[in-house]
Amino acid sequence: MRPTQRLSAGAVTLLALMFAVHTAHAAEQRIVLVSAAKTVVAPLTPPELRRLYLGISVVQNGQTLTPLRNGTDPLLYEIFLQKVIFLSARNYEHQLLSQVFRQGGQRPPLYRNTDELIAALKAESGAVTYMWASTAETLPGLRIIGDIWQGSTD
Amino acid sequence: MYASFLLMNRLLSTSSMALLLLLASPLAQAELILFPALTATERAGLNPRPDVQHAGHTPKQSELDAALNLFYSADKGRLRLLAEALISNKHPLSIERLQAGWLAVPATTVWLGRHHSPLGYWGTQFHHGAYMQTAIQRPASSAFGDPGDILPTHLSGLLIEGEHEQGDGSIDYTLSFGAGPTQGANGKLAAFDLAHPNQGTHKPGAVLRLSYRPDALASSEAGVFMGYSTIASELASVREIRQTVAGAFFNREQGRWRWIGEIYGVRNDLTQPAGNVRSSFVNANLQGEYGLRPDWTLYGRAENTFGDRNDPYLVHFPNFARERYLLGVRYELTRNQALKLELSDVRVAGDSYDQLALQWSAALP
Repeated sequence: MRPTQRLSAGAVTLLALMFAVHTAHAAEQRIVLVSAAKTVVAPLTPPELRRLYLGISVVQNGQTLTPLRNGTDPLLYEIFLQKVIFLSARNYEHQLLSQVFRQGGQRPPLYRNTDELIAALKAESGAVTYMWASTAETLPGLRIIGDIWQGSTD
Repeated sequence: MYASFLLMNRLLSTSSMALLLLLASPLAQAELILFPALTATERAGLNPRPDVQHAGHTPKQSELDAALNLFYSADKGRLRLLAEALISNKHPLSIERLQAGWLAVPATTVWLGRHHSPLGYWGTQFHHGAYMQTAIQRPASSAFGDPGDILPTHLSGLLIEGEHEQGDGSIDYTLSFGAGPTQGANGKLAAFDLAHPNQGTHKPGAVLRLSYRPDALASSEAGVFMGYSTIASELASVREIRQTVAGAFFNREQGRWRWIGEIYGVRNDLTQPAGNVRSSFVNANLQGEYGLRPDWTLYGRAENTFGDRNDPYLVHFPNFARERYLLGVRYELTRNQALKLELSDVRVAGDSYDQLALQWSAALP
């Protein structure tokens, strides 16, 4: 093989490797709604989920659901806001503040620490939060209620 | 019947305080938000108005106002408490809202307590949170306190709020019934005070408000309202005012634009020693906002009053802005702090002036 041919083959191989690595990182991701294993929560429709996280009460079988915001991963939070709530972070915060200020209630608490988030999930009856499916599947004591988003994070 | 109404108000005061203690317990889920605001105002063109009633309330040439609005809400099961208190350099602590609610169904709340009258859009959208509204000044028809509210801004009694889903949209309804204001010897309207239920004569009032939202979870809406109040007066020249208010409003948000509009038709039947007299006028305002950038908003508003010449009711509110045009800019300092600069041209009874105001406001945390 001539040197130029070897060089071309090497470049193609390198490009192929880079593409393979990139594809692995851009694999499909799922965000799921979870609760504590002891809590029974039926799957929520997209409008119900929006209502819940916009500070409006959602009650299932006499149980008031308590939304918790998962701020442990900035990418997760950004996708949640864009694909589930359909608001920018600034507009979401303002709308939450406006809703609570007008009609009372509480803004969903934001947790930036996974251990604290899980502890709150288990402590509050009716508490729900969202997380990567891959994370939910590895954490003990949680119940996956359903998928709320699926796509590429590339 | 009026004695029964008075008894209800006294029970309301007592039960509100008891519920406050219950829901302030550590077991309740709670939210505390502070809304501080600092406002510097300069006015030019002010003239003495010796011929105007209650002229002692003439606006000052320069003012620096500091205010802190405290908001608290707590839930315990289906019970909900909501409280809003205002402290400022102009007034000692005043309880603006104190409501105990029952979430009857997820979309309907039945409240007891002192609440903001659901007339119009501004009152129940922004309450006393300066940070929540884009502009510094409120429209004259929605003014709180100084320079004088001409319409009942607070009722104390029953408030029912709910919504009925219509596809993706909703029809929102609000019904309010309770003790309205009294008109003091200085002409100003003074709302029922839960802490002093025996002060003043507070006769009943009622308001019904309906609105439609094309998207139940978005802010755009349009609606109508109607209210009726009987206002006892301590003025020598007026014994009682029977006030009917009807109007419409809208809030339209699309892209970078936002439009807020209100129109009020007001009729007052004044019972006077010399004989009864009727007053009627229309007040309207339209505000446009443009989001130049995510942190910069330009806004402007026009307000006007029609049929107000020699109005026997408005004569007691000399600082009511019968006409106003303003332009302003709002800058988001941080995610929860804002700076506003506003220039306005104001016409009141017997005078007109220009005003420049600068305000810092926040919502903490």
